[in-house]
Amino acid sequence: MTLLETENGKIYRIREILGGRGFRTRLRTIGLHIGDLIERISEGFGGPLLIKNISLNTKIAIGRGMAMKIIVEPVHEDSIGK
Amino acid sequence: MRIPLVNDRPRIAFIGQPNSGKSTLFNSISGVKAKTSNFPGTSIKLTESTIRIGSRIVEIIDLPGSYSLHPFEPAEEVTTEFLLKERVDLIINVIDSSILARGLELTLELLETGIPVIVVLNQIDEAERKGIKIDREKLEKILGVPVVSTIALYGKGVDELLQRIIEVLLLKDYKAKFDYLPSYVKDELEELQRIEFRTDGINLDRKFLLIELLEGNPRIEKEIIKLNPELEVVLKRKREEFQRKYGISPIDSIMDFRHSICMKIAEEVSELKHGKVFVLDDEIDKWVMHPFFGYIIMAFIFFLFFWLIFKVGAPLENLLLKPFENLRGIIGASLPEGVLKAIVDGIFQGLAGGFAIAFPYLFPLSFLMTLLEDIGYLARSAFLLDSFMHKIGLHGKSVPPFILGYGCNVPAILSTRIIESHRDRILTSLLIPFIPCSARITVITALTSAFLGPFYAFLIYFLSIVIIAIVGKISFILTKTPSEGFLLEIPSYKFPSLRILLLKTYFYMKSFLFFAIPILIAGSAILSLLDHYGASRVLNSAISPFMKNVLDLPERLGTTLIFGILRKELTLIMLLQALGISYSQIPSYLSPSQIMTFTVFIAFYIPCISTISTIWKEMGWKISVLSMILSTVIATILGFLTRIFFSIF
Repeated sequence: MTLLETENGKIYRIREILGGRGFRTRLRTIGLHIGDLIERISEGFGGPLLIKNISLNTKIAIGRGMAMKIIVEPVHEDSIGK
Repeated sequence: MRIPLVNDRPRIAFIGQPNSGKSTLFNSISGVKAKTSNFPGTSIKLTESTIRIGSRIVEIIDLPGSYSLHPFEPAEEVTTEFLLKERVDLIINVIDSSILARGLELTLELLETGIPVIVVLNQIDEAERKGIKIDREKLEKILGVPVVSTIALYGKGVDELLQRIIEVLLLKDYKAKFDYLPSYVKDELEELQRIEFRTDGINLDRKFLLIELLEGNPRIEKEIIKLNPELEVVLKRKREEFQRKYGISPIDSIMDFRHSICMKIAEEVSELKHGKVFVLDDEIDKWVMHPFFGYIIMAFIFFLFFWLIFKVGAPLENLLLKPFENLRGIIGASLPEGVLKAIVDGIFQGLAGGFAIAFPYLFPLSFLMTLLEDIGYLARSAFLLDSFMHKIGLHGKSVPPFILGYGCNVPAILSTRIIESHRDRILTSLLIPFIPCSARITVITALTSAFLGPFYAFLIYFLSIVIIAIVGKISFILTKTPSEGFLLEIPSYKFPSLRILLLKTYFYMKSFLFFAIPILIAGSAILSLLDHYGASRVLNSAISPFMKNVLDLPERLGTTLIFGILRKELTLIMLLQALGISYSQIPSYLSPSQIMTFTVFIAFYIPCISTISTIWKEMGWKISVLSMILSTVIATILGFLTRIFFSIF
């Protein structure tokens, strides 16, 4: 599924990042990589998503168009050993 | 790399990722002496200062927050460009300790430049709150460069940092020994190394340039190809070859490697507290960033923001204005009519305008603006308002510049450097001047709030938002380009330090105190003289058709508008000067319709000189001319409509 289809308060792992090289590099420098664990925290009014990168400890606001290019898979909370 | 000892003023650059606390650390070292200046040959405006450490005098420069030397935002480009074009003797690399792994990715790039680096683990208190403890000495051993821990907000660790700076500056032979690239990338680099190319004037390590060229760093490639045009094809071929050989592009390969090595180092030097750490930030954000409550909280914060400004400003103004007016009365009475009296009177008007009318509002506004920024709310308002910005073809990153615009348009335009897309940056810069800055807020409040009621002041605020929406929408329809996506890091909440807040407030107000007030006084005195010799009559009659027919304002206010372009604060003083009355006499000389028309026109016409020149420097002369025309046309239309509105109702 894409990041856009996720639910608030749940944890996911980034599987793939679609889009051009520039976009992928940008995500990398701000700290979003394939394999990172993320939690979706909130959703603005018809707007961007707020996600937390658990692997890095950062919070990032990301627009809907970009969120559609990020493929994630759900992760069960007990399987990360928290 | 050898530190040139002959160079008696080593230059130290502060580099770090956004929200690492870099500028706070810079401010706590530079103190009040810091100033913004332009660097020769560039359009870059940066904060710099000269400080004494022990017996040495060093120059320190605060470079814009950058995630990487591979630039995406204009701000990041500034950092890379500075390293390419300017001499830097030492880099202070500031890292947010709670995001060590990501911070180290920039550190590795900086180590490659060949410039000596000191790594600063900032905000260690925050890392500890998040359950992370970092072994500083271990990190120092791994990286091979000095590592210092600080809490810049409270000035902790600053003395040790200064000590280490001296150590590094005195050490003659100094080189980071960290080497992390896999052998196959090294092989490729070695092959590239054989190609001769010129690097005139670039003081960075050749190996660093090669890595960045292989990656395809756009800024560095542009510079090198300028010197070696033949290299363009070679590099392109090399990257394609790399991709074919290893099934991955050089940039993906190098960045992946950098990332995994940084994760490993971070893991090695960090001790994680086990168990679920309660993170207050996340709990707060559940409300503050909520799709419904978030907006209610935001409305409340902004209401409180403006309410506090008026609550502090109005009584302060009353308190300060009286002594000025009394003194002016006493001195005026004791001087004979003539040139001297005209000049003295002008100077007094200027002083009163600056200190008693503008300062009382400017101070709380600058302070609260800094507070919103430092707590971390500005980025959050960008998140909340992103979808509204999309309606006018922009996105959330334009929100902080707009909000800063209420303080002063100049830093607001500079802050558009965080916007990646050039088109978005231009549009934001064109819209910023429609936000009534503190100078105009002073005039708006002093005229409308005082004589017509606070409702009219809010009406002008509201109008400014409507204008931005309409102009934005029209340009969106005309250009039809949707904005690029929104991507913004949301910093963790910080408990601000009063010392840093006051320091930043002082920086905000500095240009007002040392630049605007002298102009205010001089402008006021000159107008007084012009009036005395009858020269203002000529100016006034020249624009009188416009004043009379379009705005229905007294002819004598013509000069006021001209001087207002210098500084918007001037208009109020000039109004009093031009009509030859004191502040409290305004209602008996101007009708409510005229007061409102004048205020509306002042609020939206040509931005002040500083704003025009900042737009010019950042965006080019065409945009600044466009901004002047656009604002004058809109101000004229609004002024005319206001007049018509008052004549009907």
